[in-house]
Amino acid sequence: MKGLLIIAAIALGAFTFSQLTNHESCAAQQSQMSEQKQGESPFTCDTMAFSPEIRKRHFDVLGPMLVSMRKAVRELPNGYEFEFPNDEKSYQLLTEWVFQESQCCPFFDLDVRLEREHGSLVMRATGREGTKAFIQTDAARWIQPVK
Amino acid sequence: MNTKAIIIGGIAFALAISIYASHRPTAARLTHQASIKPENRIAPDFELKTLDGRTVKLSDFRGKAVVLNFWATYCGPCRVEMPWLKDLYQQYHSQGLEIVGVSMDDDGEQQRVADFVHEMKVNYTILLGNHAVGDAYAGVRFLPQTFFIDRDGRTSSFAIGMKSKSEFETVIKDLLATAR
Repeated sequence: MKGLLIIAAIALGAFTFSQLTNHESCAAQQSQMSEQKQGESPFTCDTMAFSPEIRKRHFDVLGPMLVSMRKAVRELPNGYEFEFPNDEKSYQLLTEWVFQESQCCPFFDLDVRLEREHGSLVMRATGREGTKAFIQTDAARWIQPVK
Repeated sequence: MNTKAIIIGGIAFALAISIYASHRPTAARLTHQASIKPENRIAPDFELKTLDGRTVKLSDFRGKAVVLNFWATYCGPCRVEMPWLKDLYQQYHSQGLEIVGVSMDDDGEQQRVADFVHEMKVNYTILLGNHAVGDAYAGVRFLPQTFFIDRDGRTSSFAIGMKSKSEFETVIKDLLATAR
C-alpha cells in the first residue's frame, strides 16, 4: 500500500513535469506559427523604398498637396478616411502617393475608392492595432478638420 | 517513518511542480513580449559629426548606458518615438544615460535635420550618419532601429521599428543597473 502511494506520488510529479515541458514546447511553436501567419511588419520606414528624388516628391510635394486638397476627413475605428475631389489630377496624385506610401510603410492598409454616380474620390488608411494612434501622432495635419 | 516522509515529500514535490507550472510565464508570453531582441556583442565604434560640426565617437560614451537610435526626418515612426526619447533622456541622464540619435537622412539634408531637431527641441546628441556606419550596424535598412549599449560598450539588445515609451524605459533601467 505504502509502496503504491510512493509510486503514485512520483508518477504524479513526473506527469506534471512532462505536461509543463510539453506545454511550453507547444506554446513556443504556436507563437512562432502565429508570428509567421500574421506576417506583420513592424512600424518602420523602409529606407530602400525610394530614391532620394522620389522621397522628396513623396514627402515634400505629394503629401502637402494632398493634405490641401482634402474635402473631408472621417474617423474610422481602425484609421481614417479622406475625401478628395473626383477629377483625373486628384486621382493620379493620390494613387501615386498611395503606391509610394505602401512601399515605404507596409503596415498600412490603403484603399482608394471612386464612389458611384461620379461621387467622391476616397482614400482610406487603416491597419492593425496601433495604426490609428500612429496616424493621430504622426499625421496630425492629415486629420485636421477641413475648413 | 522514512516511508511516510517519502510519501509526503513526493506529494509536496508534485504540488510544487503544479503550482510552478500554473504561475510561471510561458514561452509564448515571453516571445510575444520580446519585441526587443537580446544581443551580446561589442557595439562597432564610429566617428560622426554633430550638427554644429563637432566630431563624436561612440566610444566617447564608454562607461555610460547608451541608446543608439537610427532615425530620419522623413520616418514617421521615428518622429513618434522622439518625444519619448527626450523625456527618458531628461529623466535618466543624471544616472548615466546617453541617447545618441544618428540621422540617416539623404546626403545634403543637413539643414533639414537641423531645422527638425530645433523644431522638436531634441535634448540629446544628434549625429549625421552615413552608409558606412549603417553597414557597421547591419545595414539599418528599416527605421527606426535602436541599439541598447551597456556601460562596457556591448550591445545588449536591439529593436527594429517603433517601440513604446515603456518598452524603452524597461531596457534603459536594465542598462543603468549594470555595474561599472
